[in-house]
Amino acid sequence: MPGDPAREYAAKEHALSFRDVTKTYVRSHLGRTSRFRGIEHLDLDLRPGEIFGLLGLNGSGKTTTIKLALGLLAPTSGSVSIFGHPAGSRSALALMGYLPELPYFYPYLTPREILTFYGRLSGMPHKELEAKTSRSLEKTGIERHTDRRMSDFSKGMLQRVGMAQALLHEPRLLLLDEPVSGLDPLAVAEFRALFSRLNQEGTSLLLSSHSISEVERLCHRAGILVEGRLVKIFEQKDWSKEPGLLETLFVDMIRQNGAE
Amino acid sequence: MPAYFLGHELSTAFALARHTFQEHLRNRSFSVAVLFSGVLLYMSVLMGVLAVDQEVRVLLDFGLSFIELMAFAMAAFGAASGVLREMETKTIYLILSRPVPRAAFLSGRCLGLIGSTGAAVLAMVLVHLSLLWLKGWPGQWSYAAALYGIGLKLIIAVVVGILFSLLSTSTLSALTMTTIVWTLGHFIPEIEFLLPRGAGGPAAVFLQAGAYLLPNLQLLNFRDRLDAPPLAMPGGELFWIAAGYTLFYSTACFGLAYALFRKREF
Amino acid sequence: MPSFGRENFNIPLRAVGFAAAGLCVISLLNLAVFQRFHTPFPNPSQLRPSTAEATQSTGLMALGMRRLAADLAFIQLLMYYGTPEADEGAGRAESKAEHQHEEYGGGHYSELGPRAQRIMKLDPTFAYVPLYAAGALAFNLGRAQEALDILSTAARADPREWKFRAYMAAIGAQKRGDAPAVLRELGQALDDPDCPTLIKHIAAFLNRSLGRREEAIRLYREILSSRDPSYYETARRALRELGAAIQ
Repeated sequence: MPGDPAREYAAKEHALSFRDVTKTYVRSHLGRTSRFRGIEHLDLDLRPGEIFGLLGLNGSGKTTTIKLALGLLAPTSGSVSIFGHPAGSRSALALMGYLPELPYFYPYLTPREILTFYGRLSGMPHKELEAKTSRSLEKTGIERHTDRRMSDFSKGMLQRVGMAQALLHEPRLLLLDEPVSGLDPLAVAEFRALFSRLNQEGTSLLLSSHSISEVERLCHRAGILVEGRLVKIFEQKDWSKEPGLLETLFVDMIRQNGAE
Repeated sequence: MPAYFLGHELSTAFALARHTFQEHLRNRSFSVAVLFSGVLLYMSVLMGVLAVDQEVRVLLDFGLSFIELMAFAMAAFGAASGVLREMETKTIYLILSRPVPRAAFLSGRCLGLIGSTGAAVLAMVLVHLSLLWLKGWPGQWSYAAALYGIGLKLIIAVVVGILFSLLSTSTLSALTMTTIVWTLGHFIPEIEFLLPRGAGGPAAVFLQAGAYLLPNLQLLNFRDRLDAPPLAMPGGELFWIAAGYTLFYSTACFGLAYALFRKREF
Repeated sequence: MPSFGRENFNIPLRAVGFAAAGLCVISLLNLAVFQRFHTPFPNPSQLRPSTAEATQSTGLMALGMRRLAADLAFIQLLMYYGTPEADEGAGRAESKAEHQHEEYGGGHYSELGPRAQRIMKLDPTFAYVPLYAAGALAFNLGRAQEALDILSTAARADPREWKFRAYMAAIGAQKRGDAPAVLRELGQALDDPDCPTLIKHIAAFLNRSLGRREEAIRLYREILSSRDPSYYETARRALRELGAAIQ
């Protein structure tokens, strides 16, 4: 309930908090207006130090959820907060790192130049920028390609650079949209190990993915979005009994909610 | 506003300006435009030959006009396409997902474009001056005033271009609108002249609105008044009026652009 | 906060207010400029260009390139005057093409005056055009009155330019047949950087016909160092005839 002190206090404790968030897209064309619900009455709390997986079919609202957290979209109703700060505020953005699906980088730049640019935008002092850039590149395994142009990079390498820029300012919360999409198995394993390591260091992660197996291996909890509604949140104990159980639970939930 | 916030606004704006500057300079179409300008400048040499006794004047006028035209094309295209391209390629996500104030984003893009176009103008001016020197041009202070006016016009072109890029959904329409404003901006004295002589009606209202809202680019058109008596070398009253006009007009347009952009969703 | 949405483009009323304030600032700014600044040139609708020139002139003025429009029109004037007229007899064609000052009335070139007038309206500071056109009309084509009209218009637009009055006086002397007076009135104008080669050519001939050999040689050598090659051959021939070295 808005204004409820207990819930307000609780919101500050959460890495990411959605309070009855609805997002309606309004499209106007030739005088006709149509409305489309992207997200409906979303209530979700991400605990600090948690890895939360967001599962859903295409168009279920996963990317909308992430963009609401980043402040790239404004909720039609409800509120979103990051460690108690309103989503989109400078304080909130300073605490978050974001890896978009299919990151695009300026082709004429090198990874070092890209990270330097984004580091400056994050307000990092010049003295620590170089050290953190090198560290970020090492963490993501592209230190050998530091001075190559992005136009020469494969998809996997682009994804690594995307990860590097997300980690650059050592965020407390990482928002990852399809982080292992299109990666080879070795890269997937490396990313998985990186996420685990980050989580052990205290970073919270929100992972949006079609790869149920990755969510199964990494996440503490998983939420299922169906047509903009968060229909169910599973705990790790719900699917850890046997491999592949999360996929079964996911499919069942989709069918129950009539998404197909 | 706390000092550290202002510092962050400025530092992110400059980081974006520097990035936009580099992006624009490395853009292939930019290089083509600069090369094309060189070709046009040499063409102006041929036109000068046709003018016999007035060769230097024609070289001067053609050169300055081509420089302004090419610079406007670069500025308008960069302004009309920049933000839209960032939105299409989603590079804007990685910028706005950082603590970058939206005003800093826009001002950084403006400054970067102005800087890169200014660099292009400088390159073209150097070529032009070398040609003029070879033709025995004695030099005149009004050349510097002409460049000053070109610079002021480009500032307005960049800001107006960015405003239209936020109002429209395509680079082409933004570029078209910017070009229309550029053209009409040179016709403001004509609009002023025609209004009292017209019959009135909706056309007059439209013209009046245009006269009030469009940038008066003739005010800044020192290039066309190289030998006109009222034109003083920088330091005269017109110099300050032009600077003030450009500052206020571009700030107002920037404010409009910011109003559109501050709550824009992506 | 009240807002209206349009394809994810929610615009709070505060932003609308902000935009309205921006538009007001722009309007007030332009109002202030209207009251203080007026272009020194005639407006496009006052120019009355010929049909052929209208598109060119108007198009260039729309881009704020008035001087360029004047320059292009000037080049076209030179090409017009430099092209033999087809309606004159074959025997006179060659002399007309060279516009020898010896043959007053060579060719008609009825458009020469009007073209010059239009260029002067485009750019009243283009001092060379009235000097050139008046010189050609008065000394080559025998249309002194038309030449004086052009110079009067030029002098009204720029009263500070003394050369227009000097040329008018020279044309008056030419009408009286007073060659020494012509040279006297032209005087310093011959040394001006804006002096048309055509005028120097006329002055050189007058000096030669008056027996002022040194002055004639000086002027012919200046013609050879000018940018107008159409008088080079005549100047070389004249220098040879005067027994002077071609430098």
